[in-house]
Amino acid sequence: MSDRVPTGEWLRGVLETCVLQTMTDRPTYGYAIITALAAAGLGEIKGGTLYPLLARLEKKGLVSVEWRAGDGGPGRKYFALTAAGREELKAAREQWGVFVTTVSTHLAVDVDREATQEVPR
Amino acid sequence: MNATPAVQPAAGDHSVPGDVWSRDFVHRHRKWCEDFVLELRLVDVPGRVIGDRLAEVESHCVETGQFPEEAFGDAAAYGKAVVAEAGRGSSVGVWSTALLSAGQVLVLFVGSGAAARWAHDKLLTYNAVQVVCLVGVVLLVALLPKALGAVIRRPLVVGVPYLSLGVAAGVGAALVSGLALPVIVSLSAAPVAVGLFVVSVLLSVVSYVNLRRSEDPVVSPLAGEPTGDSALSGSRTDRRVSLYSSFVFPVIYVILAMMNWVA
Repeated sequence: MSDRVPTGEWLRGVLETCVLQTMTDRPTYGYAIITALAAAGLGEIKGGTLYPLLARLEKKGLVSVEWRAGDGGPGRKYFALTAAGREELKAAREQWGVFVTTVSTHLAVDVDREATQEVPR
Repeated sequence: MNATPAVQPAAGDHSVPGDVWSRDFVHRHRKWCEDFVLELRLVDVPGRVIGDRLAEVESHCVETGQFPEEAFGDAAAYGKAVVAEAGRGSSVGVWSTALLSAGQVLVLFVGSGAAARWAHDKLLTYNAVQVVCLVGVVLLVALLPKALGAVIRRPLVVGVPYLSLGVAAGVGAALVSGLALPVIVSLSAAPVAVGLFVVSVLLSVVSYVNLRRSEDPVVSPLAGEPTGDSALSGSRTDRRVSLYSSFVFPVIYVILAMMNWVA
């Protein structure tokens, strides 16, 4: 992918959905979410970005929280999807699918036009 | 799991959540933590919510080995981001404290002046300039909650001029008393001096009750470090601070009145 591609800007629009996705199997905590997103190729999300977003999800009732004792650490705040969170994730997945199809179709049309205009003499 | 936003102590811990200032992490990153807490305190975010957000920072930094500056950036900027999500708290306590303090300052100025007049068996009189100066001092104290953020963040640019303005108004009120200006208020000094001392004590009692009621320590949901003893000692210290800060005005009142009496 080109360096000029604004993946950060694209990600901003879907980061909430991507974060919700990391909680589908089990409750998880901040650092594990950052690791999961990085492993998925979405880059390294800073704590300063993630935790306010998690607080927003909590405020919306999409996740629930619980402090648990950590392994040798001070403790971890676990986030789990609520029923409303699962519904939100499902709806977001569908909307994202439609969006990707729309954008892909649009970009493909542009590529076809360029191909016809650049016919060699 | 909780369906509602809540802060719970870590599982297996049955102790009372502790004061964040006794945590090792907060000691090691004191400046960042203080700036962060200040930003949230200025808009009255509840102590438990601040403690919860600070615990997120601690937990994350311990896990990743990062410094708070690396993971969360500037403390004040991150504080603003947290406020945007957590919302502002009720500012009733801050404003009532400011109004009580403004009342105490007014009582102090007028009462100590009355004591001096009483000593010389004269009437307590005020001209228009003195009244304006007194109103200025009272307004500066009463509006402090509004200006507090700027006063703390920019002490030289805002803090010093704010304080200087208050001092100038207070000194101005005393200096213009000697000028030959028309008197607009004239009262018998003895009852004013005695009555305002009683008012000062009453305001102190109300202020103490108000401070004790609105106490909202920043507590961490994390287990481990703070002991029951430190929490108890912190509570005793808080009570002493509330007591001293509430009753300092009647004490100053008596000292000023005595100084004016013998002068």
